[in-house]
Amino acid sequence: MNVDNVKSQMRKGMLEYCIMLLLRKESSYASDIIQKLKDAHLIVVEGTLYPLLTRLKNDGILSYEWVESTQGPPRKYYALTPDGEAALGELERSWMELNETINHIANR
Amino acid sequence: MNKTLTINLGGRIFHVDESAYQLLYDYLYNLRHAFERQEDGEEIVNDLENRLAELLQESLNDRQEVVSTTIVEDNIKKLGRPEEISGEQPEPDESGKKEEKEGTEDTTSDSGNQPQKTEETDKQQSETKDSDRKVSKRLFRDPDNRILGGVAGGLALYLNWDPTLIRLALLVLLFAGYGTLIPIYLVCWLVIPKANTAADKLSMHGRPVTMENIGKVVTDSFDHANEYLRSDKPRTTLQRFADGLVTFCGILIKIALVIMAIICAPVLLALLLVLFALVLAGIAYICGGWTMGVAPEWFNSGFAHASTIAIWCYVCGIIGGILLITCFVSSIFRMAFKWKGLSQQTMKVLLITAIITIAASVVLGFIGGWHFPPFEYQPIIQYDYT
Repeated sequence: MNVDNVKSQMRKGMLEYCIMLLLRKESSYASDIIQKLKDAHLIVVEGTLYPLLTRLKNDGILSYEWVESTQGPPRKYYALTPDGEAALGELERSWMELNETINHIANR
Repeated sequence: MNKTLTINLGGRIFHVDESAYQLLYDYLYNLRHAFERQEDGEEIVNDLENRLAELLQESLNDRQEVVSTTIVEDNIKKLGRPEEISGEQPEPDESGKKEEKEGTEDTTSDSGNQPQKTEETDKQQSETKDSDRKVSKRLFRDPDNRILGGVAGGLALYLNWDPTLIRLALLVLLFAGYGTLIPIYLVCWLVIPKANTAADKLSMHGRPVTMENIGKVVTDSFDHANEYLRSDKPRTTLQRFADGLVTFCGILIKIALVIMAIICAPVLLALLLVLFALVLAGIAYICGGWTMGVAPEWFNSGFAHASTIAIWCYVCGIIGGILLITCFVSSIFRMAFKWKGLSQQTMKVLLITAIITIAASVVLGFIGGWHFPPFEYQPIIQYDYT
């Protein structure tokens, strides 16, 4: 078994969920999301976030609006849509379940 | 002293060294190429461009006002290579190395696992060594070693020959009266893909596509670009002429392709209709002939003997024809417009099937044809021999 591969697969699977969690409270600028994800060691190269954001936007999970910035050109602020919130709720439940299952198995 | 350029990147103004500019240009070009066929690829690339601008802005300060090559390289590393971003390659190794360290820490706590771990890594190493050997080369046009389209350069790499030798051989053959080489070359130019990305270049050289190797190729091309720009030697007239010629030819070929597509569309449609009609007619004829008993004499005497063969010959021919037309249409669309088309795998299968069925049709045709004539002069032969 390739441990690193499994680890990176786990991270990959979590990435979308984490982005949605980050955006639940407030809409954010992509660079801020990057910073938070990097602090959490969830992404290594920054660029990978952008295709993901665009895909989530196309799936109707996220939406963005342009916000004027004091430094530089206007920025895209991403936010969860109602659809996205529903999806997040579902993901959260499934994450709890998964968590419980793992704990249950681990502490048997 | 360096010449600087003023550029507008993502709505911000930067002063950039000439060599750094070339790097940025190449990087953005490769990004565009990597995302060109994705949904909303344009938007993704624009976002990435904006982020790059932001990163560059952060790297500049009062003392460093001009974007240098090192700054660009650092930030490209941060943002990721096109292959990493578009997800064509597995996750980068940097995280893997970190994890490995963590992993060994974990295993020291229970020492029973440690030997297993080293075995595993040994296995992995031997596997990677194996993959080093097994990697098969792929044929590409080599953009780094080209005079016209890079066909000879790519072919040389593929066959492990000297490109100059191939070019000389081609020229000699050309002057020896093999004029057909010109259309063959043009077809090769069209059909063989250009090695655009680092991954393409690696498989062109027959090296395994690993993160490490990709890194090497990318830095190599950086060096290449720098060298080219730093050497003050102006490009020779011949080179400029050849470059111009190539661009001109490229445009001509594009135009020709579009015209071909336009002309071919009705022709292909007609061909398809004819094929369809043939299928219908064949079915009707065979069914009619069998059931009504109204088939002409040659059908009953000659065709009936060879009927299974002939029918198979017919069916194979039609299937092969349809497959060939499909491939043709797909590749025309693919090249003339940036349509995604059929995947290369599908195309390969289709082409192979088409070739097999057509070959089968021809062979069956010969076998069938062998059986056809006898009923006319069979009596004569029999007469002669008795």
